[in-house]
Amino acid sequence: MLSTQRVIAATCFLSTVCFLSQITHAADEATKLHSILKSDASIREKGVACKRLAVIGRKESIPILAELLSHDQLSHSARFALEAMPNAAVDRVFRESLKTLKRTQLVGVINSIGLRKDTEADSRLIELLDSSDSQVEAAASAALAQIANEQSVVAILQRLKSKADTAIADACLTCAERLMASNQSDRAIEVYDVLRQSDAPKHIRVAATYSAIRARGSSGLSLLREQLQGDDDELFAIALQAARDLPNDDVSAALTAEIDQQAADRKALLITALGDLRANAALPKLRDSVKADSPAVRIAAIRGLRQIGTSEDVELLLAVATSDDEATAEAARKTLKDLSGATIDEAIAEELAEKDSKRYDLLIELAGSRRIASTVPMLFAAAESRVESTRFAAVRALGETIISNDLDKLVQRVLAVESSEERAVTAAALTAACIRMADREGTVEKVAARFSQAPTEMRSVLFELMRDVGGDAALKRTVAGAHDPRDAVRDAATRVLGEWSTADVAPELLKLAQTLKGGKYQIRAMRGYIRVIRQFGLPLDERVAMSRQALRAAERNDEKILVLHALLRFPAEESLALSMDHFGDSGLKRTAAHVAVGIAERLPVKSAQTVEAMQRIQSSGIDPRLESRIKAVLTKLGI
Amino acid sequence: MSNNQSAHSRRRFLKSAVAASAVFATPHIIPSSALGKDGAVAPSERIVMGAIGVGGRGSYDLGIFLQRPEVQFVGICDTQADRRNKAKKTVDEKYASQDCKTYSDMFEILARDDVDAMLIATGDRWHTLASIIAAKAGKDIYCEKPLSLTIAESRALADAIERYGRVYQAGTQRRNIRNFMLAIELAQSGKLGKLHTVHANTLAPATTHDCLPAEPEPVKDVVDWDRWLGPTPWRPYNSLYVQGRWRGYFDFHGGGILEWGSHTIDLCQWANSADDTTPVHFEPRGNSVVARYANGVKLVMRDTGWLGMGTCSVRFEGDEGFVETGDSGKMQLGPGKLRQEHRVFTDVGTDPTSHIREFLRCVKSRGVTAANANVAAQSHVAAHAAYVAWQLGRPLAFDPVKEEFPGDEEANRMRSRAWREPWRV
Repeated sequence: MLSTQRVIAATCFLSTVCFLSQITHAADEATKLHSILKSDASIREKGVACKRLAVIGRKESIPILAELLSHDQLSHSARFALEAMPNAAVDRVFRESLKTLKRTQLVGVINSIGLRKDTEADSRLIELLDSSDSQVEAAASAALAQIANEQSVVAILQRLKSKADTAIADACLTCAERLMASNQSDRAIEVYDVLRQSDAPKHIRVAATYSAIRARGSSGLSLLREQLQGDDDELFAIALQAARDLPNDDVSAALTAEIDQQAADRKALLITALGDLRANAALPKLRDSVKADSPAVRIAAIRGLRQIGTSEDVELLLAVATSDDEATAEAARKTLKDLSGATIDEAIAEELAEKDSKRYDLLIELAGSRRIASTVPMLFAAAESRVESTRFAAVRALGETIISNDLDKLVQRVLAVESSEERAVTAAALTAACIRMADREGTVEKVAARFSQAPTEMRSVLFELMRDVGGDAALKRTVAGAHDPRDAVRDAATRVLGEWSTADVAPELLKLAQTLKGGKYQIRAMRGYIRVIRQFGLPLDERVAMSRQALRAAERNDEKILVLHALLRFPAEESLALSMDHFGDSGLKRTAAHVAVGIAERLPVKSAQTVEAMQRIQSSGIDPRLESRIKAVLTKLGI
Repeated sequence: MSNNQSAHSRRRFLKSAVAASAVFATPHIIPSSALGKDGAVAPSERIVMGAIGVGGRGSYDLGIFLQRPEVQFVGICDTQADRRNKAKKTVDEKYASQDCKTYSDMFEILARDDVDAMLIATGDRWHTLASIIAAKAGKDIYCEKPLSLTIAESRALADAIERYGRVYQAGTQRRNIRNFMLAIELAQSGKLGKLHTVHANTLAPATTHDCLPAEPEPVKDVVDWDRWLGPTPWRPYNSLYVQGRWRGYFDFHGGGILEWGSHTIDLCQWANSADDTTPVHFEPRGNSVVARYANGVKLVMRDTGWLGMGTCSVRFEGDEGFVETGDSGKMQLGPGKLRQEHRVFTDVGTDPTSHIREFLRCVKSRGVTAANANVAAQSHVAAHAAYVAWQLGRPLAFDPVKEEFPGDEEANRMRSRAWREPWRV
């Protein structure tokens, strides 16, 4: 394992080597950008120059940018560059500008000072707390909070006494957070406590309480308990949130102790929190609560058992899961599915063996969803039940549990069942089982061989299974079906090939499109091929090559148009060139033009090819609606 | 003192094991005590919500929230009149009333004391700021991904959520979609052997500083363009932006690594049990970036070479096997003996219903969501760091604790972007 330090050190060296070689280039570029800023270039050009100077600006850039801080339209651009530059000279420029700037420009600079945490600006910012402009006042308090030196903290707390509005209260919160980050937790706690006892807006006092509990760490328990025992629901809720951030046995014990003291809605929230905390000591309380009068409490307890329940809870949960209270039963079923551990599986298998009619279908379902291998013989037995719901549940569960030795039984079942609904359920189970088998190719061959003697109408079941299982053998078998003399088989195979989920189907589809002359199967194969071009993750050169082949192979303009439209989804010089190759084709001219313009609009770089293509389309007058879009592209390209 | 400190700084990371083992989750049932006599949820059990940003994705999310009986939407905020009016109609039709209020200014809806939680589905540029403003107003938040445009925004957001003790769920719903959860479980449980490489499906990273041509700006009541731009640099109005064509522009978008990576890098972090850290080294290779964690596991962020499992694919490789899955819900497992772990799920895809349900449950219980702000912020920091390396075109070391690139000033300057005044964190 590489240490962080070693990786950082090694990369720093490499980066520095590269960087040194770029310094001269960057200096030259910065000089050019300075010239732009001093010229009569457009506001946009100057704005882009500032963005670049944010990355490569040098100390020579600072006075040039400083002059723009008071510019009507470039103040933000100047700050965009300056704020990113680490030089102390930038701080001096910002501080100096506090004396001259007004309104939003002043607010902008104050915000930048705050982000840069310039402690030397604190005195001036404190003066600005008295500004008659409320935006300036709020910005100053926010900046002081970011600075958070003692002078700033005192000023903010002083202001809170006289004006506990949102801005100053927010500053207090930020201030305390900064104090915590600089190892001054005692001072931070003082700030939080002052704030939560102030006249600040309620939600900020709630936030202060949240942080005051957490800042105290293990000593915060009494404050936490105080909120849990109080009447205020918001403080109760925020205490539960804080409890999750301070997980320890004392916190869990404090929450557990509260359960019996609280009303049902609060009980449910306490139990939920105990589940989230995985408080094993609360297990007896949760078990009791499963039988509570309040449905909310019952559901919270059942969900809590999902985190900490054991095999001892299976019987209780099964009873609830088969009760008449649907909401509670649903929660219990979910907990039974999610509870982890081999002992839970054993308990469920034992219950299944009992064949209790009320629980039978649920236990079958659990055996499947939990994939309890030992239940397979019981599931095969259940699959012979006369009760349809039991039969279906068992077949589904077998799809999740059987191993390869039992696969043939499921194949036989698919071939034997008469009802279309049961066949669909069984086929889905067989598919699920086949997908899981380690030897995919062997499994496919085995299943396909069993289907070879089946009636023609069963072929669609086989091909859909092939599609879902995938792999070389499945593809080969399905392609063979596309050449079958029987129309129904060809129909099923070509339909499935058009839905294939991996790109390796593409060459086969192209071959079919070229060999299945005329008719719907040729069109289906070509459209399947275009689907791969359009939807699958392919390298650009491969996608363009496939598009070119499709355009050559397609016999109808309908498919060629689909290919051209697919190009729009992957804008590149190569796709633009390919669309323009078809601009001379009268049947495709309009589509090619639209696609080329659409691609050009999305291309980030300027090229002679794009310009030439746009001018060619423009001069053709093929579609007046394209005129303004072409102009916009050419303007973007500087033409 | 030190105990206090470590307790306080215990960030609310994921209950990873819980979430991963909850693969077979079934729908949440509302306690019958919460239901009134007519089957409606009792007022005390209701979660009152508002939405900020109701374009395509926001409307989709809104529709899913509206299906939840415990939720009541009371306000819609959008900078575009047509969008907010359309969403109001949806809400009013649902409740057979005219009570849903519309707002163009999010501060007005956030000032409502009766609102508990917000759905935020603006464009990416607003996600961090709107979430911070909502947290400061005391609201719980479900926010669409990506949650940030920079490393600094990611951290500022996570800090604000923690500071205000808010429940937050990033819209990275694959944390609650079962085929992905099973793949994570396989990686974490050792069934793949010792994990050595995780792969995240990303898109081409590039963004542009271009602008669309200026068009006349609509009146503020129709489109509040200045508010639409929010903290990003001012630029002239063009109707295409507000119609949703803002992706690919540097000011508004974090690029293709972040676009899908906010999901897939997030899943890779989880698979590697790295929800509280990030890789320590990033190296760009074409449109891919290869990163490495301190525990030696490699993270490959790439846009090609996937097995066709659908969008947002991930692949986890150990020394005894691999699993690959994506939005189709299908999985590839290898070698053969691992195929027995395969499960066929019916409720796959990209539907965030389970994710939203978990959020609502946590709003009530004050529990920790799967995609809480700290977990999501770490994943986003990883994605942003990869994008910085890609932009600079050179390998970079990264310090996950300080969240900086040691000794590389250029890279460090790219960790943040100054917000337009008057906006601040």
